[in-house]
Amino acid sequence: MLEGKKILVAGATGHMGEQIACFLVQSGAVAVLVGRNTDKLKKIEDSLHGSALSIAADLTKSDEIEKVFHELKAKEMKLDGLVYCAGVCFQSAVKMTTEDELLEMFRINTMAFYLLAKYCSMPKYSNSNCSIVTISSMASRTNEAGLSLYSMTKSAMNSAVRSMAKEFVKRRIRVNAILPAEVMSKMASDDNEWTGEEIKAIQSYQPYGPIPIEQIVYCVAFLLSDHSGYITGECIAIGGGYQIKKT
Amino acid sequence: MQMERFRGKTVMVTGASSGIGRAVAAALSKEGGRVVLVARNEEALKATLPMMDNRDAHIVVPFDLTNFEKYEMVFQNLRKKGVVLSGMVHCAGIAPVLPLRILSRDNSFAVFDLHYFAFIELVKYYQKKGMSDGGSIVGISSINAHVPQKCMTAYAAAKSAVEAACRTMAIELIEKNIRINSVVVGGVNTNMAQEAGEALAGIRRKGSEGLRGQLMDIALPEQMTGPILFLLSNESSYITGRELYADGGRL
Repeated sequence: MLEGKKILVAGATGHMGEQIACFLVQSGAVAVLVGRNTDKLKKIEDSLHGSALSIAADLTKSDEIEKVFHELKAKEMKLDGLVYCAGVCFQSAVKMTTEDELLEMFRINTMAFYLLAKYCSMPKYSNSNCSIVTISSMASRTNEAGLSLYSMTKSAMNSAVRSMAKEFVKRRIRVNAILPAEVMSKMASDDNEWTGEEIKAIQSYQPYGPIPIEQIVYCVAFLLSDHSGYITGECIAIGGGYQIKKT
Repeated sequence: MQMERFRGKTVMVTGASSGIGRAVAAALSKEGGRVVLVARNEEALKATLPMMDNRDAHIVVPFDLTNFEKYEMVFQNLRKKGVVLSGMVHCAGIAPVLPLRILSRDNSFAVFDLHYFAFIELVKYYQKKGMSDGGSIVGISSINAHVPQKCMTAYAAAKSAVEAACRTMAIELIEKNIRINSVVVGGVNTNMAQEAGEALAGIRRKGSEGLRGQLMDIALPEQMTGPILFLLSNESSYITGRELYADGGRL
């Protein structure tokens, strides 16, 4: 159901980005892998047997983001989809948080998404009916102590999604966010091993336990596909029963 | 994505004789599912069958969902047939235009009976031992629950009740491994919506409008099947107690 669609995956070298890229290719799409780690990018590109191409870029630098689109244009490749799954998360008490940390997290979690979506909305870089999907977080709704900064970056992203949906509807470009609760992904680490105790701890407030990455992948694919053609400007929570309340 | 998500599964669809219910029944059958079609009018229900794949596989249950004495028998009969449900969608609904001066307990109850009380009964029977194997329930809500539209008080209130019930029942149903969510639909071109629109046009003052601000055109019932089938399928196994808006960017 994604046959022939050209879809950019930003943050393709993370656990989630890699699984998303693989699933998109399995579903018939061509994946454009964007990330910082050139070795890992190459490795993933090779594993996708010609249905992917990689463009290395540091998403915290706006000129490098622009260059990604110049490169796509040079290849005469217009996007049908954008998946944003780059981002960082660290806990920090308000009194400990520095201005540099504020800027750093906003740059990668919010601004990079904004800039990619901006270029992706332009007729020279995308086809109409293009679908933009970004990974936000349940934290944007729950606002836990110690996560003020992370929550801010993600709720800023949600606001961007809602406004962009209204601006981009003229080109029939849809924009949606996914808000996962605790995901079975150790964002910063290379391995992704989970102990029974870690899972149990999460189940105490999220009855279904940590969300397998494939569940996020399915939702991404649904939002990229025409099956969700009437859904735009939405923030879709995947909670696993976490604090069931309106989002 | 596998497009046989409902092979080997049986899903009950109420309101399967028209509009969104009919479109959902057809879409489920095209993905290999067996459908229990429920609605009042047997003729209209049977008219859905030619739109479905494997048309002999499905079960037609003509049944007035506001006849609350009949639920026991209907579900007993399904059980006798060996039916075990893996999903249920409550699409049946009415949307009468009721200006405040004629809004009454009686006509409000008629709306609540079908949207809310019927839904509660359906969920109660669905979650009984042996009637289902876990699975997923979807309630249909409407943008009216969130955006006021004149003369639609009873409908808006009933749809709000459905959403509240989904959020709340989700907590109890987690233990049974049953998920429950609602899809909040925007303007969809169904007979029900058309009739409401025409009735409203009669009492609408010049210049005023109904549901203003929908970004996309009015939807076809078929455009609602994507979100509903997503929530019914295992692709949303970790989503419960939520609302999914399919409103063309209205909210």
